[in-house]
Amino acid sequence: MTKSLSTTAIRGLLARTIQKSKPKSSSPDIPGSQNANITDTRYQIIKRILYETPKPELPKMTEQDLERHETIDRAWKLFLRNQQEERENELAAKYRMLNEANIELEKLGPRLFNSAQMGNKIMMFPRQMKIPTETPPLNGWNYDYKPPPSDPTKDSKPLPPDSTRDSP
Amino acid sequence: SQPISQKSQSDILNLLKSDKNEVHDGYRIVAGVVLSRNPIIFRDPHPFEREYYLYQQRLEHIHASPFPVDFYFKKGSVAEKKWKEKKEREKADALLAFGLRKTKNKTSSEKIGEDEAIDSSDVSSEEEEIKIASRITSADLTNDAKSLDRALQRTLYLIVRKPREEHSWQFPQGGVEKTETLVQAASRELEEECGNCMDVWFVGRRPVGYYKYDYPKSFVKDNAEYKGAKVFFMAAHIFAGQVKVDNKEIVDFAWVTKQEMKNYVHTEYYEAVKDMLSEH
Repeated sequence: MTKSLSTTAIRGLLARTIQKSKPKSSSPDIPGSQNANITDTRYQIIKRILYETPKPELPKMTEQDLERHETIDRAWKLFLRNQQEERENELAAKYRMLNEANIELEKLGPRLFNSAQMGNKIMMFPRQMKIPTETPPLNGWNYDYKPPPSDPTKDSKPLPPDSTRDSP
Repeated sequence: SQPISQKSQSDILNLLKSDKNEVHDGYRIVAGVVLSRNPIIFRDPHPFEREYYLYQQRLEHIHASPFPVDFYFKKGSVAEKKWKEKKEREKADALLAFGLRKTKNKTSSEKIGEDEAIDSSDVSSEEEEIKIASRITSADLTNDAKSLDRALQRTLYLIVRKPREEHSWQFPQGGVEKTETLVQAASRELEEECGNCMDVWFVGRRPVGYYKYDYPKSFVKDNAEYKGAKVFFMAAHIFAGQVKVDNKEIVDFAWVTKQEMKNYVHTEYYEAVKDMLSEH
């Protein structure tokens, strides 16, 4: 037999269950909560850091200092610009070679050219291709690499066999 | 003055070869491999870079707000104690730098600025000693051209030597057959000439370079089929392993930087090929 509760009783029950499910001991520490202890030192520390950190007294720059600073700035920008130019030239040269090679390949006929152009978009990079680090690995270069036993159904690296080739 | 049986044999072989190989307009189609070992460590900073970063660091120190120790470290905690100890050690080191100017000898060639305090004291006795490998290896010091541990900040390229007098050093290459693509030919030739004990990845299927050359007159007389070759270079990267010469087509190999390649390879070849290669 279920006892029917009045709406006020139900509301009271709900409120008490919600109160119970709230974490108890940690709430006084949160500044925004109702039970916040205003005299908590962490609250004071945060307010002090946000509003009362002293601005460091900056030394005034003389004419000489300013000129020096600006010269350094310009020299740095020039240095970066030169670096960027070198990089761009290198890439432009590489692209020229790539373009020339593909144009020449086209002249040889459809078979080689088409097989070279297709399937390049789905290419992915292998995990072993790592970016440089500050210092090399402790064991140095791995000279003892052995190729894994060849599985004709799978390819370990993303260069699949030619799809146009007939299976033997 | 070859014996007749031998001569007809070589003719037959040539015929067989020409049936299998790709030829276009009298030129043999050849796939070459530009196998590179990418840099393993960062480049050494340029002296100007180093000075500029020091300058910026000093400016930052001048402009920085004081560090709120009581916010980050709870009063009386172990972490606060460790922090205070670390700060005192740094102060002592800084004074040492100004006073005595000792140059610290370390196996790892770290940059030592005048005002920078190096945190060798960072590693307390409780923590484990972190081992760091040196940026300059023994291969650098001995200039071992076959080593892949040499010139860690540079890109190394594989060149192989053919058993002949002129134009002996070049990238590995070989003829493309009628049933295969460029990248398959390149992969096959690399395996045939340099062994299969290398973890190699070919960068897509497009060639990255083209080089056309004519065979010397003496060669053309015997093999009238080809007057020269058109080489299409395929880019590849090596991640592990080493070259094993087959001692038939190639007898020697070297891993060289773009600049060093000039000393091995014929000038004409270098000029044709250098634009594919990285400066660093």
